[in-house]
Amino acid sequence: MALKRQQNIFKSELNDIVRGACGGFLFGIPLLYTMEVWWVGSLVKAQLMMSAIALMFVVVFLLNKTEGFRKLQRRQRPYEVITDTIEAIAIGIICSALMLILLREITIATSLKEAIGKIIFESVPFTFGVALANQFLGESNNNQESSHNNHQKPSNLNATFADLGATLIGATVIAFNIAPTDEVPMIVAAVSAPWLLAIIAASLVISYAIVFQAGFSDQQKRKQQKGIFQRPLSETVISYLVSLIASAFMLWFFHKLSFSNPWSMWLENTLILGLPATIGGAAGRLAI
Amino acid sequence: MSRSESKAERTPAEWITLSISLFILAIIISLVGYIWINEKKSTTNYFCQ
Repeated sequence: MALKRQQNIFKSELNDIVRGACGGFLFGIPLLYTMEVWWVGSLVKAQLMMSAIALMFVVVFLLNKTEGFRKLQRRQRPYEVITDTIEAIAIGIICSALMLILLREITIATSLKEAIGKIIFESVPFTFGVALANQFLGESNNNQESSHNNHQKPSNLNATFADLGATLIGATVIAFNIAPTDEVPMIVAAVSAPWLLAIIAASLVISYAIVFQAGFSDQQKRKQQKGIFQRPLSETVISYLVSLIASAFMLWFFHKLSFSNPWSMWLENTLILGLPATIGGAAGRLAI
Repeated sequence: MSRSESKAERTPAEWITLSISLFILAIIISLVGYIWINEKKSTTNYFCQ
């Protein structure tokens, strides 16, 4: 009994951290694909890095006072908002550092100053996302009420099409801003095949975590949904494929890819744009 | 329990998260401090020459 309670405590803490990290990804991913932020991080002086951390602390503290990333808020004592702020900043720093390593913006050859600068400046939007996690796609009473009132369940095919459409819309909203920029080919030039495999794995894990782990919406309802591919794993994989198709189309639409390009170029560019598109697609499915 | 309700006390898992978070923040601040000191040193050397 005591062991089960202990496990529940750790599970709920892990869920809170995953929710925070997913909020960070939803908010921070567009700026991760912005080379100006990499440059600012590379060139910034230590004084400005310190100021960025201080400013981030103040803003996240204020955001945590109203929202935060924890399901059960602790605002009985003033220091509890401070501890939540420290945790939000740490989650933002870890997520942005991992993503910068994944996209090869930080390598062994990168100098310490450049790496720290990039991590701090990229962690600002991530940390804001962590602090706003409950605000994004959080459980709303309206949704719960409407789900209780809605006695007519949609057919399997309709539910499947609704999910596909939501994935497409979400992927387009996020990736449409990134597709015409030069960041995608720049990242493609820096990554090798093993890193592309890591990007595929990260896309799938983040998408699964946003929809089925972070507790942004009624997860039980989603897990029980019946449809052609509406099991957590198959839904994640099919949605990823839909996001990849949308990414390839967007790259072709903006003349970043043409039919005369080799298939490997199509694959690399699509996988790189597929990461933000998948995150957008996951958010889109939560919104329906 | 709704999101707006408060929890009474910090669990061991939350203490672990806080400790790790403090550790990460301490590392980042120390590294920035180290870079700052090095920047100052190099600026001083430049003016000495």
